[in-house]
Amino acid sequence: MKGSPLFLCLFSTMCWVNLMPTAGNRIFHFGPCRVSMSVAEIRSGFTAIKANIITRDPIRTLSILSYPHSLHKVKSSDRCCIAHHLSNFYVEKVFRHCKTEDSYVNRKISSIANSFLSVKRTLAHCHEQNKCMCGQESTEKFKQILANYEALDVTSAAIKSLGELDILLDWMEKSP
Amino acid sequence: MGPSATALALCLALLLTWRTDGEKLASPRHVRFAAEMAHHLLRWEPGHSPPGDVRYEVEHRVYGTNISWTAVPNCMKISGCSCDLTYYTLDPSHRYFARVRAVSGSRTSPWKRTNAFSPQEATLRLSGQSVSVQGNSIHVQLQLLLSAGNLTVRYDDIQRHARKYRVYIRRAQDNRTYEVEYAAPEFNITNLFWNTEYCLSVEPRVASRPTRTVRTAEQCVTIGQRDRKYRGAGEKGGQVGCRSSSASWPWRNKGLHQGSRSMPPLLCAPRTLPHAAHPGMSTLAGTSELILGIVSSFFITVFLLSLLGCLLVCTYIKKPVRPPSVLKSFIKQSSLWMEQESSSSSSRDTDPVQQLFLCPKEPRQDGPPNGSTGTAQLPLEKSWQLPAWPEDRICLMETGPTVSGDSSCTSTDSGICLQTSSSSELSCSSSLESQGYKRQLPAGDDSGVGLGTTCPRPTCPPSSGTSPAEARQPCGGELSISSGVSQDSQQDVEFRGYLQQSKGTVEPRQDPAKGVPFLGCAGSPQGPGSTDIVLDVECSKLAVAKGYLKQSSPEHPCSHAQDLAPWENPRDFPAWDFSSQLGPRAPALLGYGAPGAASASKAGPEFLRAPFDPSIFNTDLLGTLPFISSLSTN
Repeated sequence: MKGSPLFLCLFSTMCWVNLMPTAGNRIFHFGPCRVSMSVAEIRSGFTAIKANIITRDPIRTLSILSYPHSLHKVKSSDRCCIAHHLSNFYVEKVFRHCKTEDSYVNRKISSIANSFLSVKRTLAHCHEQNKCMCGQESTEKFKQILANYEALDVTSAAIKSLGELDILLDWMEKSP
Repeated sequence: MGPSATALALCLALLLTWRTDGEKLASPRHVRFAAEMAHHLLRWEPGHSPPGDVRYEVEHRVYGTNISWTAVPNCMKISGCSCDLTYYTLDPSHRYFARVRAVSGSRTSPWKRTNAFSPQEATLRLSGQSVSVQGNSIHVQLQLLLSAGNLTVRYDDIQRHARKYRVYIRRAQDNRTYEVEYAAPEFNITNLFWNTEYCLSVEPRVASRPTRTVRTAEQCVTIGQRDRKYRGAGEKGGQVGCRSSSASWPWRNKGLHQGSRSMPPLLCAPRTLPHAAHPGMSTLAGTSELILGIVSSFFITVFLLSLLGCLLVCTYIKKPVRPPSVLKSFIKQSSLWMEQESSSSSSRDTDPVQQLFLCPKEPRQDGPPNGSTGTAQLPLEKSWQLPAWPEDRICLMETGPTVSGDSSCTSTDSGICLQTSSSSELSCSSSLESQGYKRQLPAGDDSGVGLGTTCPRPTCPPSSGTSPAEARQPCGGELSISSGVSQDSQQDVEFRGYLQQSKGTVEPRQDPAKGVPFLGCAGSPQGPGSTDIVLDVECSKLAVAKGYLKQSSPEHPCSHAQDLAPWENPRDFPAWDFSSQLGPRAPALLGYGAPGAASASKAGPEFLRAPFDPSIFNTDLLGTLPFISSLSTN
């Protein structure tokens, strides 16, 4: 059918337009670095397991990402550096050790980890291109985060960090 | 009795108290934050069979700080099952926990903790909207200030990013609802129907969060009668309204249809709603715009399609291929032949000769052959000259003079002499042919074109080097043979193809010249009667014809045939045909079943030429080349 290629083209265009989420895929600006992230997808996955994860974390006095230590009062110039470090941190230290006995939770964790992989790659690329310059302040902040993390045993720290993912996402969403 | 009763009472009391003491107070169940924006409510449910005087205590803390649990003053020892913690949980950057326990008397239940809570997780809500009507558009302003007791919370402070507002517009008269999404808290809904009542409700949402949301209370307004002064404004506004709504198109497809079309048609009502009969005047304006849009899009589509068609046509139409210069002469001759043939198609018999040979007439070709062309008989011959064959030219019958007799064909033209009637001529032709062959071919035995030599003449196949005259002679004689001989020749060569042609062409175009017009070796098997002179000629050429012969009886007496044996293969057919048809169709001489002798004759020259200038032949002819060479070897 002659018209089928045209129809297919139109249909795919329409589908693309419809599927292009106006907010699902957001582009975050960390300084000069632009990172595209499907925040809505990560959030929905996280919301599904948040209660479960947080229940597993009994320690409330210590937070890895929360105020007053880390993510507040970050200068816009340091955002890229901290984002880069944090994405590395999550991919390498957190998602790996967050194995639970619940397969549903594990699946959700895997999907979140996959989304973060792409973020990590983009930020690493920006770092290579010297778009993510790390100042002293940002280095200090990340060191604090690491110290918080290392204050706990690996599994608890990983679970806790995973439970604080929404804090990280909130911070990422903040426009400089 | 007294002491026993006392003891009993005591026992009972003990038992009772024991029971109650032993029973732990059940902690409240389902403790959760049921929070709306700026109204963070902690809810729970009573525990298992709570006592009547159960009370609840609430504490909260901030996650990450080492500040321990803090009691909530308003919710100490309350009997209800909810507690408003808005005041304590306002900071969006913090995470909060709360816990509840039941207290009854001196007993307390274990604490039951909620999950983490952040203000951003609270259900989205707006305090309301302010609506005003301007013409046929509605101006909406959303109230983003939320009051929490004596606190005022700004919606923007809690949800800082990706704020969207979905508006539900319901038409009162038929309850049709439309959804449109805006990004700003202030917007215009335009292009509405006149004289209609609309009810609005706004639903906020955050694109990057899966938070719950509630719609604002519905507010209804009426758009009055259309006023003159508003007509223009309405139309203009319609565009604006439609644009803004179309901006939210992708959102519309998220499945938020609530039994209604989520299109902006309501906003662009006059344009899209099919109520043409609606009293709203703006309908007309919208309709005209719609028609204009349809017409313009139609024309654009037609234009694009025509453009595409032109492109396709240009791409796929093959340009006529120009024949290479090398073949030009050849083609010319063939075209000439074709003309001849076509003209003589009706009377093939009459123009066998013509068809057969190219006369050396061509001035370019050479001088002498022209003599042949002189023969008026074959005007065609002239045309037939193969330009490229100065010498090889096929002698048309005309070449009679040159080929008169056997020797006549000694003319340089090696072309196939088409000698129709006079044997001389024929011989000429034939001899010419043979000559041509002989000349050209080192073997020179048979003129490749030789038509099927009549069997009777073993000499037909002129030995290589034999005087052309000799060859001619016999061949010529053969050629002159009219039906009979020709027949034989035909058989010999079996060039069916030739025979055919010769049949038709056998008849000498010149009546006198009975000679087979000699189809050149095309020997069209036209008819037995056809002068198969050509055929005879072909006898020698049988070899050539062999290929041709192939079609015919294989037992061709002519040895040449043998030569051609190798060539006897289907290929010969085409070759043969090819030759025969050379005339008529210049470029592609492969037509099988040459229509006329001409073709045969035509083929002749080609054969002759083959050895000389293979390139001249088109691929079709190539098949004949080896044929010819084989012939020469003969």
